[in-house]
Amino acid sequence: MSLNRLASSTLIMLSRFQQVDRRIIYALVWVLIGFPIVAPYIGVRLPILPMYPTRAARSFFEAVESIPDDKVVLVACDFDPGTLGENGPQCRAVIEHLMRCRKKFIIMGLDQVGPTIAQAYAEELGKRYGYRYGVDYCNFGWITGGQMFLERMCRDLHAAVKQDKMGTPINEIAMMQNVRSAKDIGLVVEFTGSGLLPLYIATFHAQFGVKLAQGCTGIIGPEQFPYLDTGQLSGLLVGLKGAAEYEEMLKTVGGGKRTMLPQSAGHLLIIILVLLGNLGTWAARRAERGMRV
Amino acid sequence: MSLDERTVEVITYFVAAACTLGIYTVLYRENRLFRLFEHIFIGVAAGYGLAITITEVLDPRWFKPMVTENAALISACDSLVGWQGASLDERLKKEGKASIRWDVKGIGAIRFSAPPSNWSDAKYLKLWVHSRKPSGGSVIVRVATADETGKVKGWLSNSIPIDFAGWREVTLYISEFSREGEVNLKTVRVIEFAADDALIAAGTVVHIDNVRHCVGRKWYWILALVCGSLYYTIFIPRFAWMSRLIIGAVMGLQSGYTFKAFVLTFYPQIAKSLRPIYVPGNLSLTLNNIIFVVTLLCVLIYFFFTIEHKHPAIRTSARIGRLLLMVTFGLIFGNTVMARFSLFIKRLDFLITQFPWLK
Repeated sequence: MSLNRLASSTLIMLSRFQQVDRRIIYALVWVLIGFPIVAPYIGVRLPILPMYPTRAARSFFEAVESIPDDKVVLVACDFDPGTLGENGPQCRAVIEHLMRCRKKFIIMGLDQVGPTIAQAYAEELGKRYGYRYGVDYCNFGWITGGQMFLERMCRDLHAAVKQDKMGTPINEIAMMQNVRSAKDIGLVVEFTGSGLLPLYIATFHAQFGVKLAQGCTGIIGPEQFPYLDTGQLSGLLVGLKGAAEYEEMLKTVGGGKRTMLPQSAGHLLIIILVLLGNLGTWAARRAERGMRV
Repeated sequence: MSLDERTVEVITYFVAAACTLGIYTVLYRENRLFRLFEHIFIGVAAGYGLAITITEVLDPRWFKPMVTENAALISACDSLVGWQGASLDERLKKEGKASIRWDVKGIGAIRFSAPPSNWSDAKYLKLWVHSRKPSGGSVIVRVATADETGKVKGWLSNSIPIDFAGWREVTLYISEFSREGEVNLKTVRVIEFAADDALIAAGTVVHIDNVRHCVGRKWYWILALVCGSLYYTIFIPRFAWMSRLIIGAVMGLQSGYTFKAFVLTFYPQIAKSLRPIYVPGNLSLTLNNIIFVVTLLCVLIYFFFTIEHKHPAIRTSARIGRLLLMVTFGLIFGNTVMARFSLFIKRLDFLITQFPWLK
C-alpha cells in the first residue's frame, strides 16, 4: 500500500468524526454524567472538585454579609422548573447564607412557580436554623404587574401587597410591621433564567438606591456582566458553577459542589467532541482536495 | 382509602421519573411516548398557570376586594395579648374562641395597645358589642395616633350607644369620628374603650369581639372586567374597533415604562463606556480600558452597514470587530453547554438520588 493511499484512508477514517451518530454522543453523556452521581451508591468514592470563587461571586457573598441588621432582603425567584437545575442550588445556597447571618427575608417572584420552590428551601433550611414563617421570613408568592408593581412596591409596600401567598394580610405578619418601602430593604437578590433584571434595576436600584445581586443561568450569564461592571449589580452567580462557588464560600456541600464532577466530565466530553469534529472537518476537506497529509 | 406519606412519596417519584424518561426517549428518536408526555407537560403547565392565576391573582386581588369589605383584623379578641383592663370570656363570644369581657362598673376604660398601625385605607371600624341590658349610656371609642417619632399626637373619638341587649355589630365610619390634635392614620398606636357616666351608673358588663377596620367593597373593580373584555371584541368584526382602545392604552402605558426603564438601565452603561485609555500608575486598568475601547469601537464599526467597508481602516476594524464577536459567541455557546448540562444533571440527580430504596 502506497503512502498516499494510507494517508487518504486515514483522512477518510478521520472525516467520519463529522458523522458520529448523535445517539452515541447522548449515550456517552448519560454514562459520563451518570457515573459520578451513581458512584457513591456502588461504593466508589470520587473526589469533590475544588472551587475557586470568582470576584463576582465573592461580591455577592460580601453584599449579603454587609446588609444592615434593621433591613430585610428581597429574594426574587423569577425562575421555574425549566431552570431549576441552575437557579435552584443558587437560591438554596443564598437562603442558607441569609439564615446563617440571621437576616430576615421576603420571597416573591415574577414567575408563577419560583416562590413555591424557594418556600420549600426556606422550610427545609428553616428547621435547621430555627427560622419561623412570618417572624423571620415570609412569601408574597407570584407577583403580576412587572415594573409598575415593583415601582409601587418600592414606594409603599403595604399598599402594593395586601396579603402573602397563604392569604394572611401583610399587616398581620410580624416581620412586616417595620418594612414599609424600598428604604427598609437592604438587598434584592434575583434568581432567573430570563432577562428580568432591568425591571429591578430601573426601580429598586436606579430610583431607590437598593443594592442588587443576581443568580442567573449560564445562557444569559455573559449578558449580565456589563451590569456588574457599572455597579448596577453588586454580585453575580452564573449557572451551577456560581452555586458551587457560593457553597465553597459557605463551606458547605450542596447541589452545586456535589454536581461539579459530572458537570466537568460533561464539559470534557464536549471539548473532545469539538476537537474530533474539527479534525473530521479538516480531514474531509483534505480528502476532497486530494492532498497529501 | 388514605395513603401514608411513604407511599405518596414513592408514587410521586415514579410519576416524575416516568415523565423524565418519557421525554428523554426523544434522544433515541421521535416517538409516541415522547409526544404523550410532551402533551401531558403542556396540559399540566397550562392547568397550573390557570389555577394559580385564579387563586393568587384574580381571587385575592380583584374578586375579593370587589365583593368583600376588605377587613383587616385589629383584634380577634381570642386572647388578652395587647389588652389592658379587660378579661377573657370563653363562654360568651360571637366569633372565634372567646371575647373580651369588660366590667364597666369596676374599670372605666380598657385599652388595646397592639393594633395594626396603618389605617390609611380604612373607611370604617367594625366590631361586635354585647350588653346584658339596655342603658342610656355609651361606650366612647378613642383611637390614638402618633407622629413619625412614635409620640402620640392625635385622637379620633366616636361613641357607641348601649341601648340594646345581646350582640350587635357596630359600624363606625372614620369620617364621622371627631378629631383632636394631629391625626396620622398611618401610625395608629392604641384603641381605648371608655364608659360614659350613664353607662357606669347602669353597671352593665360589655363584651367586645372581632374588632377590625374595613376598606369597604371596591365595586369599581368591575371596570377592570369591562376593560379586559374589550380585548375579546376582536372576535366580533362589528365591535373589533373596541379592542384597539384597550390595546392602545396598554401599549402606551407599557411604552412609557419601557422608555423609562431603558433610560434608567442603559444610560449608566453608556456613561461607563467612556473610559480613559491611559490611567497613570495603573497598568492593568490601562490595558483593560484599551481592550474595552478597542472592542467597543471595532464592533460598532462592524455594524455600520451604511458605510461600505472598503477603506483599509474601516475594513480592518470591522474584521477585528467580527472576530471579537465570534469570541463572544463562543463564550455564549460555552455557557449554553454548561446550562444545558446543569439541567440534565438535575434530572439525572433526581432519578438516582431520589430513588425510594436508595434514600
